[in-house]
Amino acid sequence: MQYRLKTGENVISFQVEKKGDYAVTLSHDNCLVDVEYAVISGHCLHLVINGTPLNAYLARDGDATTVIIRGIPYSIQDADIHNTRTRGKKGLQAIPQDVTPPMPAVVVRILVTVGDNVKHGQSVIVVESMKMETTLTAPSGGSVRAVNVAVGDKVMPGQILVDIDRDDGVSTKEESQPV
Amino acid sequence: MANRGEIALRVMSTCREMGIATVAVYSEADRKAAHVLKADQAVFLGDPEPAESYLNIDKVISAAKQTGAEAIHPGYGFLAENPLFAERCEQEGLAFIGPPSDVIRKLGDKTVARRTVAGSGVPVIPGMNRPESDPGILAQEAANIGYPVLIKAAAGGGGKGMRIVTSPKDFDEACVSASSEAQRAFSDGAIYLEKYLARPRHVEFQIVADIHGHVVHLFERECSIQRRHQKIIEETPSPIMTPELRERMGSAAVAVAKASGYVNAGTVEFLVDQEGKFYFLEVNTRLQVEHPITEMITGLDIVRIQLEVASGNPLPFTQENVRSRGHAIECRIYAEDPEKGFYPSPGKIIYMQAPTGPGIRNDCGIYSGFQVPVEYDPILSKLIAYAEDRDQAISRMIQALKDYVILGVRTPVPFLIDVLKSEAFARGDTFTDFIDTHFAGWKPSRRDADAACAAFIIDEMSRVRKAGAPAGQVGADPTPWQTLGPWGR
Repeated sequence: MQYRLKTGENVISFQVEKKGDYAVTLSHDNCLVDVEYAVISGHCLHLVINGTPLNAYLARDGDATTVIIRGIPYSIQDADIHNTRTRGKKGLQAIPQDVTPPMPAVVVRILVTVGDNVKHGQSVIVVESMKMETTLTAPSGGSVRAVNVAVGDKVMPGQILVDIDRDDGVSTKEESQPV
Repeated sequence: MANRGEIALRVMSTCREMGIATVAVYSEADRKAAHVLKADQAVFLGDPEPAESYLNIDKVISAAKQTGAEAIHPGYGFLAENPLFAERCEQEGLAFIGPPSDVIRKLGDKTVARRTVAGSGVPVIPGMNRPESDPGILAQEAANIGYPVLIKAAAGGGGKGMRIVTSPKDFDEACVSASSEAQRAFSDGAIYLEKYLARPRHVEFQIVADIHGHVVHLFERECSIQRRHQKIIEETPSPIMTPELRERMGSAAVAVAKASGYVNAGTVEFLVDQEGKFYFLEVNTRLQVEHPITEMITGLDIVRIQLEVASGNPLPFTQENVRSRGHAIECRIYAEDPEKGFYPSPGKIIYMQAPTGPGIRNDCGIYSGFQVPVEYDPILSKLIAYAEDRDQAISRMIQALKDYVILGVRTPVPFLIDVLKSEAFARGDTFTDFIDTHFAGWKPSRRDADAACAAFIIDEMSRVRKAGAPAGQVGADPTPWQTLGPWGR
């Protein structure tokens, strides 16, 4: 069996060989990792890695799985599945390039109305999450085609809060950063 | 209990021990919150936004009335330091578990607090004792104080409306933006100036006072490790404290309490400069987030003291017979991502496992399956480690943090581990610029990436294996026959 896993910036290919009911060997880049394991629960594994025991805690969250070992979280994705799902789009990078919140949030102020002309980088909407305010700015100069939310609305990352028709005729899918 | 989260649970625990029945209040976002599950009764307030729920004085008072509550504990945040709320309780014949409303009002305006304290002979940071709006007068005051100066909001707190100005050319602009930020945060744009102290330590004293005029301090807490002007690690005793300095600062804290007519539990905050000189900063007229570390070293229950004092009873001890022993550290566990500038990270707690063991206390407001709302403060829990001395407390805290598993939201646990392991922390070099100085751009070192990938693969493989099992079996608790695996390792 083979897995290509993305962890942080790296993609690592693992060759996996079963060594019994509760043991596998993983190899990558000339490294051999002997793993014995016990499934403690749906969220906890006990692993013995090259003779050293440790506990790993995991949870699936959409595309990625978070694994916590010794207090440190690791975000891991199956690189093949990840590529299939994002092929044809701009991938994960597409998300922060729209007028969209960086985390689940509530809209607290809307600074533009439909028809307004906005400049690149102009503040368009303020969201609040857990008592911290974040101002979202226009990804490009243009005119506001639609405001898709109202004050008090709960919004999620990826949700486009404001549509802007760019001056050059392309509708917004360009970069917008929280400031 | 006019609050939510871990502090509501903390206060209810003591009430139970004392045989006092509890009433929780909750918003739409908190229907399944831990404090609702723990209370003897729970009253629904309204929509999630604080103004419609936990900040709504009429609704909270009405919940108390309809359940026949005799007293209200405000916790921290929300209505805890709102003099109008305390006053309303007084008018409605409800005991407010905290100081009288006029004391909250007096100490809540920082310039009034400075005037009150200056009269008692306690050193205050050089600066103005009245708010000012005239730019000319402010500029003149800044020149008199000498740059760098700190612009502060008279109604301030949490770093809102605060600006450090190092040169006169930036001064006018900073005043305008500080004032407008204060106006938005506190509906009060009044500002004043203080001398800016470089690299201070933040040291505070817990005080308790009864209605019979007794005031006792319960030693200090060192709270210098902060991000965005909010504390994340606190400890007691302070690494810089000497018996002589403790005596002087403790007496000053008691003097501040007496000068303001203080009753109930409160905290007198000081800044300590590089030469070891201390200055009054402000009084927090509430039960402080970090009160557990004081409870650990004194063996006292501060909430119990609050309830006794509110019943009119005298303090059950004098300054002479309050003793401290050992060392306690608290780490605040927020829903936030330390790798992304401590940005909030709300979401559902998919799984959690809290540390236990000798000297470990976990004041916790969440559970596996709980949806952490976006509307409120990101504090999830507070982990407290107590041991015989500072080094042991640090080791104990590091181990406890490594055992603290919260999946579903990001937490500062890996960051806290690295801070506690650092040389600078071990030396007690804890100044308010600690994180910027030692941990700017921090990332955890991810040494167990192979093990994490192994866990991912094994999880995938065991899911495939379970795919043939009846629905509902995936992720269910396996029997020991399935899990014990490597016998005799």
